[in-house]
Amino acid sequence: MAMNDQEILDQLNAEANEAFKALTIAGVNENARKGRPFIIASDDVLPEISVAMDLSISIMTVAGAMGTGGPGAAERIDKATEMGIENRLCASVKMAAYYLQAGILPVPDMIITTNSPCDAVEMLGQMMENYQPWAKVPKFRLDAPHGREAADFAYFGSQLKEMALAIEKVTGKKLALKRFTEVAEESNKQAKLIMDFQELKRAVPCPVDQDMARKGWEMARWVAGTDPAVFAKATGWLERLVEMTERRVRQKQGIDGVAEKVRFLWYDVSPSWGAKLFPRLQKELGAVCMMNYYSFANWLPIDTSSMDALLQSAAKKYLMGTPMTRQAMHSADVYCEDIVRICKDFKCAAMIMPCHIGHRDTNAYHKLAKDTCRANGIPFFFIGCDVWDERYMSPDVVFDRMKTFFQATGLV
Amino acid sequence: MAENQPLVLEKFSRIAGSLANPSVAAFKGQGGKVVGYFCAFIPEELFIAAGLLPFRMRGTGSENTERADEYFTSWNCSFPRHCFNQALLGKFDFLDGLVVGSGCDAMRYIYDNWKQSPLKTPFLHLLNSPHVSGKAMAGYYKDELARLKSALEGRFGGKVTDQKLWDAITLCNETRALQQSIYDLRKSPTPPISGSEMVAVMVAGASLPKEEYNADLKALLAELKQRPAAGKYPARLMLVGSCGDDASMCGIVEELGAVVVTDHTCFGGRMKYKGVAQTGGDPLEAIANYQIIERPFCAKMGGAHALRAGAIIAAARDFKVDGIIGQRLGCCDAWGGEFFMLRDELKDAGIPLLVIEKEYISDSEGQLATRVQAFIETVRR
Repeated sequence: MAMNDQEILDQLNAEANEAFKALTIAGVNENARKGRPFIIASDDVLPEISVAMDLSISIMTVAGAMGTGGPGAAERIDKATEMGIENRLCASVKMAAYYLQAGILPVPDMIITTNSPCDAVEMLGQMMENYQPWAKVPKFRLDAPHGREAADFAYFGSQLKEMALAIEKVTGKKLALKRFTEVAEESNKQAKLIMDFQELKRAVPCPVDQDMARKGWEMARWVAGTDPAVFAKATGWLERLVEMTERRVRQKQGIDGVAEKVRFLWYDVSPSWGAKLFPRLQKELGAVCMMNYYSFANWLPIDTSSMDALLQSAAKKYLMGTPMTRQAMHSADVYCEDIVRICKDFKCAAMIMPCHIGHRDTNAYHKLAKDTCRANGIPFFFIGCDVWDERYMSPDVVFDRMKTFFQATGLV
Repeated sequence: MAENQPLVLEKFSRIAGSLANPSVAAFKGQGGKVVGYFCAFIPEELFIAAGLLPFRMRGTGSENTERADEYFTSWNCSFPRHCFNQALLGKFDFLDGLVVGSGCDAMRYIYDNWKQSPLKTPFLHLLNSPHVSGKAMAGYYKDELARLKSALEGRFGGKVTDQKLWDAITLCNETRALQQSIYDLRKSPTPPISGSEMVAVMVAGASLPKEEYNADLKALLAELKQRPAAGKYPARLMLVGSCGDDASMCGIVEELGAVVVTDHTCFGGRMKYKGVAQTGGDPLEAIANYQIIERPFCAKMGGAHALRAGAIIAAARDFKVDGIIGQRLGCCDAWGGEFFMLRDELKDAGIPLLVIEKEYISDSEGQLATRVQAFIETVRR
């Protein structure tokens, strides 16, 4: 018997949640025990390359971020501070630093670090490089430029090539053109599916919770990075999501149980406590979040015409299409232009700037975002919360503030 | 040590104590253009070769961040906030241009905020700099410097030739050597210059025409050699951290009877580190190699922590320090990480470390003094 939409959603969520276990610190540890080369990166380093080399790369900051949502998270964040890690560092990075310094990971075969997307991750990378038990581990450092011109993509593309050579030296596995092309084609298929989902999501009422795009992206990008076999599975997951969403749009169905009144943009990371906020906003106020950093990504295609084209377009995809790298590594224009475009395309009536306290970038350009919204007639609301640690501002307080804002602006 | 203060030191103290100064005014009076710049990795040589006066940005004299708070929240470090506040108050109106480097996240966005603010600085440029030390990165930086060179030529006229760049390198290397000579005097058991005075020397160097400054340094060296010894100190300390244009920490140490004999700060000891190699055919390549490979001292430079730690430990031993005071500005991720890593390395080297988190303009000197006093008691000779 065919499944109804809710059953499909439940299944997609169950598959995604199961897959995300690979991203947690327990998953990283399990990965390390599997016997193949254990490579650990400070942040996302483009899975298309590791998948093409049939390798797994675990990500410290993702493990840290995943850890901020689980039981005992607050205690572990505080332990990091007790260890001497800067108190005002982003909590997901503090958590990752705690995992590192607590010595709960085995010695990796290789460390890859990157300065993207922010100062905190850069310093986590340096801590990984200088962590004494890992002193003799081969290291490779990526330098993501802040520019977004052809020369910047060429510069970063050549580093991706060097990274592949460095990985080959450690693991003996090569980045072959044929396989890289196949993976890039699969990646492009995923990018198109995410774009299709974004197109469908524009419908009024919004057919499916926008968070499904984030989950799809994380499956394709992060989980696949840790397990190459998941790469193709992520495509199937996205296909099922798009198929269901298409049907719902045709039937003019909104999110189940939600009487949509206002659509808004939450332009930051999706908080680890989001489940305590967004469903409540939907149910109680009819306020539907249409987009966040991680839903708005991955649309850039990789050019498969030659090895150089693969590397350079992959570099562009990394610099301009990776969530947070896009928003935090470049000039404020990118962030502000995104706001206007997303609000227009997705019919958002308001822009919420969560301004995570650990993000030095958004904390330095909130006025520019506000001015942009004002100039474009978009009601703007600044929060200033910790997306990884609800003790700083509880989801209830965030809800109350947003409710007041929506009511004051007449949006609900 | 304020008594018997050489005349040159008086001049440097005045210059370090304010933003505008008579030499800048005189330079402008003769039709010269002044370009401000943030961060130590932006090479003064390029401005000098373009016939411009480089002026290192700082927040001297700032009393609060009221105006800048509209742009930066308190989750950004206080250095850019105070500097930007001073700009919004018109304290940098004498600038004909500004170059911002992509050092750390908060500093980088000074560029965007400046561009969108009511400030009308005629020339504004963002210099992208790598965050990893390496040959390919130096190559990228060289290209970025070439882009800045073209922009300066386009805006201010005049061709920046290789010869002009080599001449500027020679001039700035002379500055570094003279500054090193003064630092070397502080290796003495009875240093003839205090830490506070040295801050003024270094800050003035980033606010004056180089020829004038070098002449002043030569005069100062001669005067210091004649200066009566100040006596021995119960503790010789080193300052490590960012900025370093504010002498308040040195003042606290010296009020307590100890002395700061060396430092590793952005305005201080890192500036006079060795010199740009005057070999090879390409001056921009020489500058890029110096900034990215030989002197990658910004804590944000990946792959260079061991070099930085080595330089700090070497200086601590060279100057026979009894302990290091680490100054970390709140919300500075880079130095937050750096001090975490340095902690164990300095312990292994047997060098006591006190890390103090402070604001750029501190209003809690009493509390700081208590902590510093306790530290001095533990390390005193």
